[in-house]
Amino acid sequence: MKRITPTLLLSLLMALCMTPTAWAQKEAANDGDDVAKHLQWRGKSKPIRVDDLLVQRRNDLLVVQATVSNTAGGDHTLYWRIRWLDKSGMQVGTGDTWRPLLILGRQTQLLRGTAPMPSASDFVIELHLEGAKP
Amino acid sequence: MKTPTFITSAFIALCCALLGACSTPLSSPTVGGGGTVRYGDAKATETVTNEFGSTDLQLIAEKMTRSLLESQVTANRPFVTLSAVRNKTSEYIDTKNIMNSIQTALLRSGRVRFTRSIDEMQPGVDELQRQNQSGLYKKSSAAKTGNMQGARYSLEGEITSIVKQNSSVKDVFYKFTLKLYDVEEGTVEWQEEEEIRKTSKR
Repeated sequence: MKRITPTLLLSLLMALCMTPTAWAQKEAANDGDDVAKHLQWRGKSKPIRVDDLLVQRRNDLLVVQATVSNTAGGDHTLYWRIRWLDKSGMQVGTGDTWRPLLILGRQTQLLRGTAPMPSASDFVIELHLEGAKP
Repeated sequence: MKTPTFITSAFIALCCALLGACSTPLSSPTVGGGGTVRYGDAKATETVTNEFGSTDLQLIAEKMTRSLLESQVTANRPFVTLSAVRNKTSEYIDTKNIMNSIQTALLRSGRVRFTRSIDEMQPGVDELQRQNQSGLYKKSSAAKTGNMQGARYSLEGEITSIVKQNSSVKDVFYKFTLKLYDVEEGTVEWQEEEEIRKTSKR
């Protein structure tokens, strides 16, 4: 019988301590790395899918637009907000408000946000599907 | 051999401690017995009733601020002053609060400067008079009169609502409109709207 090494045991313990949200982030990374690195799903994302992201600078402010699709027939409420970051990864501003968005069955909607100040150079879109499981 | 046994025992003790840390809840740094009061996320979506609420205020302020910052009007850090927001809804809404949130966000951006609004003028005049007319202050350090900056633009707004209800559903539609006027020329240089629909079952 193989002995359990200390490293393996520690890894198991760390995995046990991980929160459900941390697991959800890993699932979202399957959507396509360029889009997924800017997304942070709280819980399961299905049947909502983020198809693409557009990023521009307007009047020296970062403007982000994401296309989201409801791949199912039923209506869903999506809560979303954008966390703006500067070039060192520090949060810019005090944080946006969670925005509710009703997406009808088979509908595509746009999420659009503008950074609160010019120092924002990166962003993470936080998403939460109403009733989603971890 | 004694050494490996000691290492194994120490490792098992460490694992037990880690497991204990994961499973035992820690006491919170709070005062209060019942646990009926909780602090929540101030940015969370509030759906207690369909009257005007904190989320509506925040959504309006964010939309107006970001839209104004995107426009070229703010390119040269203009001086702006706040004017009234007319409340044409059937509810009491503290419209000054909406304008304060907009002002805070605009100032934080560093793209706009504000002068005292009409509401805020009297305390400023009082302080100038105290420094210049009371005879208590050194002339060299007293704030001089006649040096206030005049605002190039003025922000004026309006909030309206349409309420419809039947025996089972109540629908409230809010529309907030904000305009930036050029004070000298009287022209509207920027305008934005935010529409919010809230529906509840009765």
